[in-house]
Amino acid sequence: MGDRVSRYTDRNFKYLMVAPGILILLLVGIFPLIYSLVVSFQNITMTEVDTSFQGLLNYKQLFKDARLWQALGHTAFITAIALPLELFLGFLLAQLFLDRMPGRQIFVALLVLPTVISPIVAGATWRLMFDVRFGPIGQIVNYFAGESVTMLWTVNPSLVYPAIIICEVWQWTPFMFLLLLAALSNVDQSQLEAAELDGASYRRVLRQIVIPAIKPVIAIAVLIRGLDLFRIFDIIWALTEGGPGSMTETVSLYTYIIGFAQFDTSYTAAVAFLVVALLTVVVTIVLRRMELVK
Amino acid sequence: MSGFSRRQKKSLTLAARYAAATVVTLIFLLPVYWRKRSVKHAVLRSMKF
Repeated sequence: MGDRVSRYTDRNFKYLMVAPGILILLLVGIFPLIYSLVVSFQNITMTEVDTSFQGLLNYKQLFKDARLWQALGHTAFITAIALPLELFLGFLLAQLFLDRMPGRQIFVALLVLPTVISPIVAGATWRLMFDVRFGPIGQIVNYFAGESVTMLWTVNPSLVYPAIIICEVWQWTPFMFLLLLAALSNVDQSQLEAAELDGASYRRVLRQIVIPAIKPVIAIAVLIRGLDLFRIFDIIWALTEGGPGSMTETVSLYTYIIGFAQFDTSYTAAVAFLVVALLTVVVTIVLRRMELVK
Repeated sequence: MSGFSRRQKKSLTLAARYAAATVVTLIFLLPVYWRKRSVKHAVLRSMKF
């Protein structure tokens, strides 16, 4: 009997050792997801005692919620503008710092500073920058205009999106720059030298050697930043709080408002699940397109 | 650039790269500096957050 137990323990010792880890992972990762799915089928509002199940009512309501679809549109708009800008500027910066130059590490370390700042601090910082009375942006514009120009960056409907995108691009371009710099440093030098000997133009080398070589890194960078941009919250909260009106309200902001200002918990869970479903579809398509997953 | 020797071209390119790197770094650091300066001068106190 004792022999059998010890043999069993010996054989399954590895599983016993990883079991607590897997259990914690399941508890931390899967349980909240399943719990919020259950909540999305209920009628929890934080203001009423009734928590009865109401089936797909919350999901039906999603399709009639114009503010949600507007928020999705705002999120997509910010992503569509900021992501290519960050990629392009990051690539230019990476090209600038690609060749060896004394002091390069100091420049790179200084450039990475915006990325290590918390996004809410970045938003507050840019609010100071855009401030009408004290902000340097207004002073610079006044200097070039030659007269006093009042630019209400966080209030004027035509300036709020540029303000958000400037802040976002400022904070996350260095991240793209770092990834692309690492990728560009690893491009096969012999291929570049061979192309140079053959007299290939810079554009052709870029298109036929450099871009294909760094394509997987670009894909990962775009995916990480794309997902981050889809969840954008802090910067907008610090700059405009979704205003003027609900003009810059993104999905995350809307979810926060209905969850923590209107206390509609079950509907918030349904919105969160819609976002999860949308992102899963987008990520799967992107991964297949980029041939990262076969 | 045709009137310059190979060595001069190399030096000019490096100088241009340094100039570009300095300008870009300063642009990226301006908000960080401005926040520090604003906090120091208590501008925050007169602003609503």
